[in-house]
Amino acid sequence: MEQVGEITFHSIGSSTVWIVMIVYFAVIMLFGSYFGRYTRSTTDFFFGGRRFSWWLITMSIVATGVGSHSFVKYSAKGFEHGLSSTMTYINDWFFVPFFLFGWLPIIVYSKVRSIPEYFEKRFSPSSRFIATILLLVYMIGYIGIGFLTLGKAMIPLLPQSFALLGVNLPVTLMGVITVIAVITGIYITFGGQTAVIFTDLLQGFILLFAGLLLFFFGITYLGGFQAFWDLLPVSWRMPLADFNRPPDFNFAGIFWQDGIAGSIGFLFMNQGLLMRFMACKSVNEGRKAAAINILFVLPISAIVVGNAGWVGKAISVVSPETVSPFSSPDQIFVVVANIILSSPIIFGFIMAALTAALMSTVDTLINATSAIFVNDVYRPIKGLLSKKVTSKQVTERRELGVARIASMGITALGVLAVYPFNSFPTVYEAHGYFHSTLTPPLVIAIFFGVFWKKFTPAGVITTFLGGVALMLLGAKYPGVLIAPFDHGITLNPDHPYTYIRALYNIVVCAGVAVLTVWTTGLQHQFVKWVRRLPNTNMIMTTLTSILSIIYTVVIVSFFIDLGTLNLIFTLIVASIIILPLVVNYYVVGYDVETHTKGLVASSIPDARRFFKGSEPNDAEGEKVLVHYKVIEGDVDEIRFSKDDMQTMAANPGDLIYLSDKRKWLGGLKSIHSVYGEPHNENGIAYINEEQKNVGIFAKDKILEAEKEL
Amino acid sequence: MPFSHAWLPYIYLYGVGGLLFGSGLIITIKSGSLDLKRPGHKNWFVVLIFGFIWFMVMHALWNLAALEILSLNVSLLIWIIFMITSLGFIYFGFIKKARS
Repeated sequence: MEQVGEITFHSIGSSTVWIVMIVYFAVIMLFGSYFGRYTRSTTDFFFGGRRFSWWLITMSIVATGVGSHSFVKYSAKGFEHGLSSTMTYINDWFFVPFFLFGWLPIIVYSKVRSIPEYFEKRFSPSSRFIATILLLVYMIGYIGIGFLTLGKAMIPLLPQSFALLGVNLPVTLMGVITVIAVITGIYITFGGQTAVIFTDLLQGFILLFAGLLLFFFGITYLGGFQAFWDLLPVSWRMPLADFNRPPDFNFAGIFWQDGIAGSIGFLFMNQGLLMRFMACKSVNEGRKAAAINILFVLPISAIVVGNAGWVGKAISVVSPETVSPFSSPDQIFVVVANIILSSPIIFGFIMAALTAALMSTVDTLINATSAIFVNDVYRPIKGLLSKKVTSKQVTERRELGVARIASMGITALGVLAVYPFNSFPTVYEAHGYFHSTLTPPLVIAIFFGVFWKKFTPAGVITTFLGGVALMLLGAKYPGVLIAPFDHGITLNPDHPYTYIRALYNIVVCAGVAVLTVWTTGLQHQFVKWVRRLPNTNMIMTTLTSILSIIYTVVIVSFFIDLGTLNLIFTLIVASIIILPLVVNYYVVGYDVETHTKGLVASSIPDARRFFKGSEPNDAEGEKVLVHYKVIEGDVDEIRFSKDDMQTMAANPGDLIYLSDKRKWLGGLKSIHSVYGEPHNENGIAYINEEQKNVGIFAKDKILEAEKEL
Repeated sequence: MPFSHAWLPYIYLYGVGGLLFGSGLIITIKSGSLDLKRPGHKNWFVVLIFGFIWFMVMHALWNLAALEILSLNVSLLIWIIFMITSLGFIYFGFIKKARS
C-alpha cells in the first residue's frame, strides 16, 4: 500500500523519562538561580558585567547556537537529505574578518548597549527608531521559531489528550508552547545575563556530550561507523547539498540564506550573541571566543544536532519497519533517540538536554530583546516624558523592574509569533524563510554603516523603507522579480524561493543603499534649493504625504491586488527618490566626521580612545599576581606598587582588569577599574570595599592583574 | 553523481565565499582595524587564513570520501595529519614566537 502523508508519534517514553526531565530542569534552574545573585544592575542583567574569559563564553554560546540551530530541524534535514544538513554550521568563516576587526571592537569600544543605539550614534534618532522596530520584529520572530521547535520536540512525548477533572483536554502544539513559555518567562525574568551565561555554560557541555552520546549509540546500533557509512546512499554522504535541487533543500539557496544573510545576521545583529561577546572581559577575549566557536565547536555541533537524522536514515534503509522512511522529519530526533537508547534514564536525559538547549536559546533571545526594549524604547520615551533626575540606584532599580516586565511581554509576543511559522512543512524551512526575509535590510544597514564612511542617514532610512518595499514586491511577484536570481531553483508555489529570496533581498537593499549614497550631492542641492523657496514647508509636507500614501499602497497591495507590478514598482522607485530628499531636509546636524568617529572600521583607534577616555597604552606588559588590601574611600581606582606597575607596563589612568587567579572561575570574580597612583607594597593591590564586593573577591585568594588599555 | 552535486557547490562555496573572505581581509587591513604591524594582529591574520583553509580542506576530504575517490579511513587520516601540522605550525611558528 502506498504511504500517504507523514507518520506522527505520541506518548513516546515512560514516566521515568518525565521524572528525569523534571529533575534535569530543576537542577538547571537552581544552577542559574545561584548565579542570578551576581546580578546587581542592568549592566549585570544584560551584559554580565563584561568580565568573562573566552572559554566560558565559547561554551555558553554552544547552548545558544545549538539550541537555535536545533536538534529538531537539523535531524529533520539529516533524515531527508543526509550529511549535508551540516553545511549551515560550516559556512560561517567568510565574514569572520569583518566581525573580529570591524563590528566587535566597535560595539565594545563605543559602549553601545544595543544595535539601535549604534544607529543613533552613527546616523540619527530616526534611524534608531526604524532599526528598533525591525530588530524587535526579528528578535520576536526568532523567539517564535524557538517556541515552535520546543513544541514540536515535546509533542511526541505527550499523549494526544488527557483527562482533568473529568474533562478530556486535547494536547495541542499551541497549548504545549504556552506552558513552555510560562516556564521560560519565569526563569529569565529572575535570572539575568549572568544566570543565562552560567546555565548555558553547563548546558553547552551537556549538549555536546548528549549529542555525541546519541551518535555513539546510533553507530553501535548500526554495527559500527563503516557499516553506517556504507548504509548511506552516496548522495546522503555528501557534505554539501545539490546545487539547485530540490526547492526545499538546495545548496545555492541555503548559501545565500544561511552562509551570507544568516551568518551576517547571526554575527552582526543577533543581540543575544552580541551580548555574550560584550560580556567577555576584553575585545581580544571576544575574538578568541568567536574564532574557537566557529573553527572547532560548530563542526562538532553539526554532528551533535544532525546525527539522529543520519542514523534514522540508515535505520530506515536497513529496517524500514523500525524507522519508516515516511516518519515526520520534525519528530525523527525523538523517534530515533527512543529506538537506540534502551534505557529510559538516558532517553530522558537526552530529551531534557534537547529541550533545555532550546530554552537556552529562547531565554537568551528574551533577555536580549528585553535589553533592546529598555535601551531603545523605555529610556528614550522616559527621557521625552519626564525630565526629573533620579539617583543612579533608583534608576537602576526601576529599569531592572522594567526589564523583567518586558521579558514577560516579549515571551507572550514570541508565543503569538509561532502562528505564521507553523504553516511551513518543517522548522528548518520556517527558519530559512524567516532569515531570508527579515535579515537583509538590517544586515546591509549595519554592514555599510560599519565599513562605509559615506553611508548617510538618508542612505540607511531609504534602505530600511525602500528596501523593505522592494522585498514586499518580490514576495508578491517572486516569479518575476526573484526568478532572475534563482540559480535554476524551481519555484514552489506554496513557499516560493524560501532560501534564494535572500539573494534578491540583499541585492535590492544594497542597491537602494548605494544609489542613495551616490546621489547624496544631488539631494543636498535639492534641499538647498527648496530652503530658498517661500513655500518650503508646503513642498516638504506634500512630499512627506506622497511618501506616506506610496508606502500605504505598497503594504496594502501586498495583501490585496491594487494594481499591476509595473505600477507598484514605479511607486516604490519614486519613493526611493523622494525619501532621501525628505530625510536630508528633516535630519539636520549630521556631520560625517562626528558621526563616524569611533563608529566605523577605519576609526577604531578613536573608538579605543573614547572607551578609555585618554590615549591607549599599548606597551607590552605582563600579568602580576597580587593579594588585595581594602582601603577607605570610594574612588573607582586600584593602586599597585611601582614595581608591579612597571611589570604591567601601566601608568596611572590606564584601564585594569583584576580577577581571581583561579582560571576555572572564568572571570566570574573580577572587576574593571583604573590604575591609581602607585604605592610601595609589592604584590598588594589597594581596593575599596565596593570593589571587593562587586568582584566578590574571597579573602586570602590570589588575584591576577592585567592592563587592559 | 552529477557535477551539480559533486563539485559545483564546493567550487561555488569557496569561490564566492573566498571572494567575500578576501574582501573582508582587504577592507579590514586597509581601514587599519587589522594592523599587521602589531604582533597580536599578525597572529590573528594567520588564524584567519588558517580558518579558511581548514574548512576548505575539511570539505574537500569529505567530498572525496563520499565520492569514494579516497577511502573514509584515508580521508580521516589526512585530515588528522593536516589538523596537527597546521595547529603546530600556528602555535610554534607564530604564537610562541610572538610571545618570546
